[in-house]
Amino acid sequence: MSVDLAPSRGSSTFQLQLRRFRQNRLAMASVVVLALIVALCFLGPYAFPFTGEDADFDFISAPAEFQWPHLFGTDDFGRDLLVRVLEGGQVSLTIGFLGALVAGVIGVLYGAVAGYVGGRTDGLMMRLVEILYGFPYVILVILLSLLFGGGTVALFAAIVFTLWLTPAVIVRAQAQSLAQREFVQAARAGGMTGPAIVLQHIVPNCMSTVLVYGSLLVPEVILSESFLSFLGIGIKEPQASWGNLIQAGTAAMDSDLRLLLLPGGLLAVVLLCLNFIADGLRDAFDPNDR
Amino acid sequence: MLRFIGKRLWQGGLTLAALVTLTFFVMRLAPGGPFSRNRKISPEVQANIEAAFHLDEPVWQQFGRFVWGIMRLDLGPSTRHRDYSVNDLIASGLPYSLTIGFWAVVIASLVGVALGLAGALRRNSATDYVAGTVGVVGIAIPIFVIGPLMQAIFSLRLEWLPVGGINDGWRSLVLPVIVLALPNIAYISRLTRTSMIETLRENYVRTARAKGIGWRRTLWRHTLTGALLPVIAYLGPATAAIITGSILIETIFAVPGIGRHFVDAALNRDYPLVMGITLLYGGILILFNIGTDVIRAILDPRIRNER
Amino acid sequence: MIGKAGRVTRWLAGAAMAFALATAPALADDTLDRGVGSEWSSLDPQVNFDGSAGFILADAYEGLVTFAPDGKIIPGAAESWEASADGKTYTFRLREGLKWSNGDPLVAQDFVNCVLRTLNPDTISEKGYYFYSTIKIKGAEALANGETKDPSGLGVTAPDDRTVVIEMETPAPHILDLMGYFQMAPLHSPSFDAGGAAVFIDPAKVVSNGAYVIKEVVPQSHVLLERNPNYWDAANVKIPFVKHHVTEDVSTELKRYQAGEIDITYDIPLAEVERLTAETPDEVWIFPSTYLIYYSFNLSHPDLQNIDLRRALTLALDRDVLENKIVKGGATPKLNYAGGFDPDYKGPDIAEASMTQAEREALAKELYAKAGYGPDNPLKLTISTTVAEINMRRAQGAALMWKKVLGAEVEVNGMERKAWLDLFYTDDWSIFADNLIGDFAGPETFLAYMRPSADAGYGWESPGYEAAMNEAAAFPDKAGRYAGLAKAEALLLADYIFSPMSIEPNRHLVKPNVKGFGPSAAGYHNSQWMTLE
Repeated sequence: MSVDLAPSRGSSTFQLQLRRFRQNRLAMASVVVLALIVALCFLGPYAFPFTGEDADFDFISAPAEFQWPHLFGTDDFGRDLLVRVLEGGQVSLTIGFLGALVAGVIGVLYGAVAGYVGGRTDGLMMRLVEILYGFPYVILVILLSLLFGGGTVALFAAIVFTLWLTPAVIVRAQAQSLAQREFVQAARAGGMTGPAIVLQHIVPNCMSTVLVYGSLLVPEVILSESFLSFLGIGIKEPQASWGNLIQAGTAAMDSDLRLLLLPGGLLAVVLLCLNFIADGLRDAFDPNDR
Repeated sequence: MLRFIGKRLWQGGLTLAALVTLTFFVMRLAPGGPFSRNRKISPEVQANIEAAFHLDEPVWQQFGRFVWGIMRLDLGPSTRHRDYSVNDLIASGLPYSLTIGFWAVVIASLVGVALGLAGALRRNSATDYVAGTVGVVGIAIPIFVIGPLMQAIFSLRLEWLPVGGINDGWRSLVLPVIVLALPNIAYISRLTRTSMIETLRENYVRTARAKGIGWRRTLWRHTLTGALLPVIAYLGPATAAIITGSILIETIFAVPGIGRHFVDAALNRDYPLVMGITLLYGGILILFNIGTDVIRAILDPRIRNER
Repeated sequence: MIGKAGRVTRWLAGAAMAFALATAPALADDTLDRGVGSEWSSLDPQVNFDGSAGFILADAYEGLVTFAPDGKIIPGAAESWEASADGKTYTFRLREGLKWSNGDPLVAQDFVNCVLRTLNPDTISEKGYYFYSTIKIKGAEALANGETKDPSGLGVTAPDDRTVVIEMETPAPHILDLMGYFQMAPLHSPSFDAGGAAVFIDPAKVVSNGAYVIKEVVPQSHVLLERNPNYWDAANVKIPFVKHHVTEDVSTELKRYQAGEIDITYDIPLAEVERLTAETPDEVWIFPSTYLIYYSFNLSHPDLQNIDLRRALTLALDRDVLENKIVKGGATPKLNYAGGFDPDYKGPDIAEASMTQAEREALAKELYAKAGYGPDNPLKLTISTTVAEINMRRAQGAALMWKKVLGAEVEVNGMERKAWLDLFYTDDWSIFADNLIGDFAGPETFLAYMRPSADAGYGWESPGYEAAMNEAAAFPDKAGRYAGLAKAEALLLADYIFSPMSIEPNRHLVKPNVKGFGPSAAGYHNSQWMTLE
């Protein structure tokens, strides 16, 4: 998300940042691992002669024996676990990144504008955030499913609707103090317009917080998806997602840990990678470190 | 400062009124009603029930009744829990949610800030990575996984703590508090670390150090207060959410708090209970946001100077 | 109710002390801990309409009859009863010297007051239909509709302190099933008149007549009961305390059971049924309930107006594989509608029952093709169900089978429960994952529900069925009545307005040291029959 938000500041700066990021070995390793996982999720299922939704009633709950074709065994409908986890990854990673990106962009811009402009506008904007915070979420979700029919659109709306609020509050808090800083005052005195200041000074200076918070939003999106399917919207069985796979795995935790470990482990690895990448980007883009 | 607080309180009241009004009317758009049942009830009985809960009146009239009730501190009867009024249910559930939430916030803030500081002061060291990983684990493992896992370890294997319920004094508190604190530890430690690193490079910190003010003093006096600003902004809404109860925690650990009531009420279309808890949660949320604004204004002279 | 002034202080004190206050009142060995599922909706015996409160009230109140561990009807507050020759009048004789928990004498009028209060529109109880519809007590409907306030017309009377007479308009041999605590808990008028419905949750004021009395009520957490010394059979009540816990989450309930915090669970997680049955067969109790599952077809849907197609869909499902291999919840698969609850009811002979599954599937394919569908023109339908795991699994399994056998493309639409309930009346569905919980374990409660005149919302017209039901209802004896009901059921099944699926079981885990638990279809498990060893 950083690349989309970072203002173009000439290629030399960007190249410098890129070089700096490349020097961070942990971050680079994380990029490689993450890319591998994404590739595996999107390409892996083609290697198998079946999809994750094909039930094989002869192989119900087959254990993980690392034998072709059911490498990690099957679930209790006789569907291949590995393929389901990979297909679930397609859905969850897409929703996770897209959801976090959209929520992040909305939140950052909203917060930056509120914090920079201040005064009555800021008050109104933040009171709106409070109202949205306070509105009963379950009812909101039920209404969204009524409006959009319980599909992916409703899911996306339900996720983004609440998740942009916290980044907005945090960024607004930072923007508020940034707005009083010398370089912002100077830019204003120099005739720079409001939107330009917000985009070129406020947002970049909030970037580190946003990056770090954004990397935490991804798992939140992936996991909240499973709660929403409980309310009847979003990814529904038989379609797999990491959220519903992990939930099903938790239910069967005592008898068959493998159902939890495979999707849960992958999610944990993705999160660790994201965490290191976010730190690496943060360091690379740090405006005070130039 | 007092004028600032007064103004914020006045705005907060208006916000709460807007929230409650919006919720009251929008809630009615959801399909089904408090008394829709599997089996059709006879029309006479249905009419009786609706009349008893004033559901037969026009919605604006019901709203008037609700507002009049708030003025008398009476939130009306619950439609799902026939033996209790909304006041009773909140009075019986809130203490449990408050207690668990309070300790979770305390632990999350202390541990989160400590981890974040440790990471920021020893950047890219082993300490930093360990602290970062601990934080990420807190958020990577969802509550509905870590809760049952902790129950399996600490209750079934080791038999140290009860699985759920409220019958075992403080021991009943331990697991829900820890599990509720974990994801917040992650958020707080990550926010503290990054914000601390930023602040350490700020001009005023450099100036202070250049002037020869001691490292420790600089750290506590200037850096920490500056670094905690985003954390405090996060804590405002987060605390309000935590102390008014978490549906997942309360379900997994069988805690009779109001977080469960909130979701249960929405699912059962218990309109009065939804309104009661929305009012409570909205009120607490707005108060905490005012609180964080005030704290930030005290900590950060730049914000104070503006207003 | 708490005084308004004290509320804030109470909250503050409560926040600090909530956990300290809730201490166990007695040694764990004295207490039977039972799970009741989600929270009870009311402890008012004339209002309560759900199973959770049912478990609690079964211990606190006793009706004219009661139910043995295996579900059989045995004498309760009444020691004997007799029916008139025409089957329309039942006379109950109460035991001698019955007392309320506070020592007041328990008299026949207390049972009459129960019926009067249930029917009174001001009580806003949903249970009145038991007395004017399930059985038709004289004058009950007029009282329920508010046409009259005069109790003298009611067919429930107390000619003396030990006699309750019930007069009905039509014979109803199933009346005894409705004379237990759930419908017929006596009302202690002095305490109710003084305190209103609030007395039922107030341990200081509640007066009951069951084996136990309510000692403590904590919403969403538990209800504690203590042995009632004034109960007529108190000498045979072995366990001093019973604690009914709210166990909202079934996985948590299992863990609490394993940790010894719960002795009898409300349910068993689906994913664990197989393992637990293999590992601890003595602790797993799975037996049929009165919860019937069937998939209703929308008769106004253009595709489903074709009866051949409805029959094809009904035949194509392999119910054994569905329930035993896919859902794995221990449900009893079935092809008929009202059978399987009362062993005395044999039901109609239907062709499907004598066919093998292969034959059924072959016929299904034939009918499907005859109805004009095939690979080029597949049937497209949607199953609307709630998102509860067990319902989702069954719906997915059924969709897979319809796909496999017929090639029909069936989607599963999992919905939030109230939205699902609402959907039924909007008519905007094709297949509705339906269910019906019987009022008692017999065929009549299910068959009466399907009467077109009962207006259950299926849009089904059948004068023949209505006539057959009326004919059956005229028999005062069970044998003649059941033969008539079977004829009616044959008419119902022949129209394929739904596909019968299964009977959902009661699933409980019971600790090995708890004795006296039995398989009661209606779910009556009074703690008074149990002992802790």
